[in-house]
Amino acid sequence: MTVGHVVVLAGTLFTIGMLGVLSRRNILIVLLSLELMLNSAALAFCAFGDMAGNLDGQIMVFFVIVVAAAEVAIGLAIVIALFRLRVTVDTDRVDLLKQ
Amino acid sequence: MTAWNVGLALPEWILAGAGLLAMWLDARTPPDKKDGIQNVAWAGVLLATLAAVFQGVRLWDPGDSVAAGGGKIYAFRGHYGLDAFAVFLKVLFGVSTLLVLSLARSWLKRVDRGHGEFVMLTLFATLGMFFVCSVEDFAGLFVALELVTVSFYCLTAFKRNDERAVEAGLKYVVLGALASSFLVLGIAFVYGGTGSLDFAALRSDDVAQDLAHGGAPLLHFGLLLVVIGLGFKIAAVPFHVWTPDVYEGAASPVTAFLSVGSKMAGITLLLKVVRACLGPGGDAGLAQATPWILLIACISAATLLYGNLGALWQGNIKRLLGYSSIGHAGYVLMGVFAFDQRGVAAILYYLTAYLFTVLGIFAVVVVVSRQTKSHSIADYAGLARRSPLLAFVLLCGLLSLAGVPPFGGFFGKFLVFQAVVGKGTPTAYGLALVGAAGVVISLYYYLVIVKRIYMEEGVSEEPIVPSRGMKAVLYTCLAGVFILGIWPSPFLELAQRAASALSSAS
Amino acid sequence: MRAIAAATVWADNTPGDYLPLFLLLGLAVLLGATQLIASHVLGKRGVPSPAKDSAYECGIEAETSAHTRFSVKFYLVAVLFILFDVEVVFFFPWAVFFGSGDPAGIFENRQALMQFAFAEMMVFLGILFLGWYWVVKKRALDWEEA
Repeated sequence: MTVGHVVVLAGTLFTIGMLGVLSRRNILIVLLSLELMLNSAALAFCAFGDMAGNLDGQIMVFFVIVVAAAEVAIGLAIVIALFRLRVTVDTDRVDLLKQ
Repeated sequence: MTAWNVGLALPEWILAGAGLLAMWLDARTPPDKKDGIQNVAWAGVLLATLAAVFQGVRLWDPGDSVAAGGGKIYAFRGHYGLDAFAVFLKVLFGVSTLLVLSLARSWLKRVDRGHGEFVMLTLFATLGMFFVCSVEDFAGLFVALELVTVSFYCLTAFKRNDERAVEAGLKYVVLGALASSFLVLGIAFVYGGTGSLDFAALRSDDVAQDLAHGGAPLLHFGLLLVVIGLGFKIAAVPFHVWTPDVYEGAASPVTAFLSVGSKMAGITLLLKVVRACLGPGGDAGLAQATPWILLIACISAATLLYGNLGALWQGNIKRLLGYSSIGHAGYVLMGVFAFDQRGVAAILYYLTAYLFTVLGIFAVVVVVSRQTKSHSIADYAGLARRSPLLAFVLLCGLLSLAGVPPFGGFFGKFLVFQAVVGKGTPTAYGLALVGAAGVVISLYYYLVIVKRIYMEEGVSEEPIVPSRGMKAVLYTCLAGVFILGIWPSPFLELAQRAASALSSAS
Repeated sequence: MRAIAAATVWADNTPGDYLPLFLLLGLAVLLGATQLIASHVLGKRGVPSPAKDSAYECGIEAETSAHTRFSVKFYLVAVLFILFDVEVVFFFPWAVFFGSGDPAGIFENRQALMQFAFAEMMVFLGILFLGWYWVVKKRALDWEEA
């Protein structure tokens, strides 16, 4: 297994996550997909860190993990607030703001 | 480069201290006694801005050893850098936060909960913006930008009982996190290409050669993703979809802060990254890579056209300002396209004028919507009779946004166009033409509002009286817009000094 | 982050160094498996009958689906847990650097390294605890009222 394999895996996961964000209607699944995207980037950092031969990439992974946690925590909090108001987690029904 | 020099980050220390103090006070005070926290925040931001000004005075002195040695001081072992460019933007961020906090003061009186949280989040966002000016590597870029963005997610959905605000917050979080993941993946590929996270690694001759002549595909791909991530933050087409919705749904002071602070943070980072990709001398790398030049020109032109055309059909003033803010991102990108010292100075001047103009307009929006309970442009009819001051500020603000002399916005646009036309290539002329078309279109929809407020009869004749704090904000913004339009030379000199610091950054 | 050469930090590790880790792992697997097998072997199993499948004798028949919604309280506590839990990752690079004894020679001596590391961690923990204090004071962890 080389760095290239890991990067390809990271890219695949990133794509799956992106497709999930764009096509799924359940907000919770969308948040899961976003987490997948951020963590696939973390995987790419690990791989490139191995290639570069320093620890910068691994340190960056810590930052990515923490930021992903913060973003998803806020996402969940907003979903709960929305659910209290609208009783739905379906993105198609979140459409008050339109032209 | 290897010194810790911790004291250099004094403005950031002050802001972090103020934010944590606000948190402590918020935990300890009963809900009806939150005014003290706002004072703490105001004092903290003021002190941080003054500290930045003080540092700027030191950097400005030509006899100083720092100014002689390239004008840049490093701290935290080279991960934090301070030069005239960083100081200039820190002062802009500080001033805009002070104005936003003053704007929010009268608005918060109408909100029954969360005063402490609002102030804390504003302070942490400002801390992120200050760091954005000083980052020297991609790890710092990511963390500082996320500090700004995550604070703004909360601020957008701040009115959690308002369906529109929560919906805006949700859209912002989902699309913002999408952009963040593009940014992170981009950074990963840039790291794979150069083996380092430092901006300095991008600035080497080898990398500049690769960038100019299509070598190092990892690097090109990574930079493309980074540009997408930052393009989202500054609302450039085609990464703008969140802008009108979030601007409309968020509370007006938050929208004001978003359109000034968040946008300037993205632009600052874009300038820093692009500068790093121009080789040691500032004229190699991307500046010689035709596909990249075309890409930036295309994004800029699309942003100009989309923002200004989209604004034509808006009936909601905040939505209209959202589209107009997309259009203004296009003018800033014109400055990026002309990437040289003149272009950067033009962008910095543009942002200074934009700050006062937009915050003045939003101050009017906050005051008017308080009385009319509406953001519909139709409800601005007859505003001149209800409050001559508000109408005048709105008039000056809109004309400044459109770029009419003698207002600050005119000079900003003039400098940007000058920098682009100075390039002398067919692409540059084409972009300047698109920009001119944008100005003409924008003039139309701004003048429609002006006609409403001065010529038309409103449904109500009831006078609108701004509070004393609001009047202070309105007069400050008005003064800023006029001074920047009539007496530009001292500010232009500062902007040029900041731009030359960025260009010579070693 | 100036590169701490990966080799310097990890060079001294031999497979033997991981023995305690494998022992712990084996113990964990053993413990879990023992409990599962023990309950499977020792537990009484009878023949199913309608009486046994019905609701418990003093209860009532279930009327709604078992897929009920969780109270929002769970989300609040879970989100806070995740945030404080994840912050712990920053201990790891700190501990590795401290344990490695500054191979890149960033500090003049061990004394300076220890002072800096201590101050840095105190600042980090101070901010973390302030956040925790704020959460407690905002009564976000009060189960009854949330």
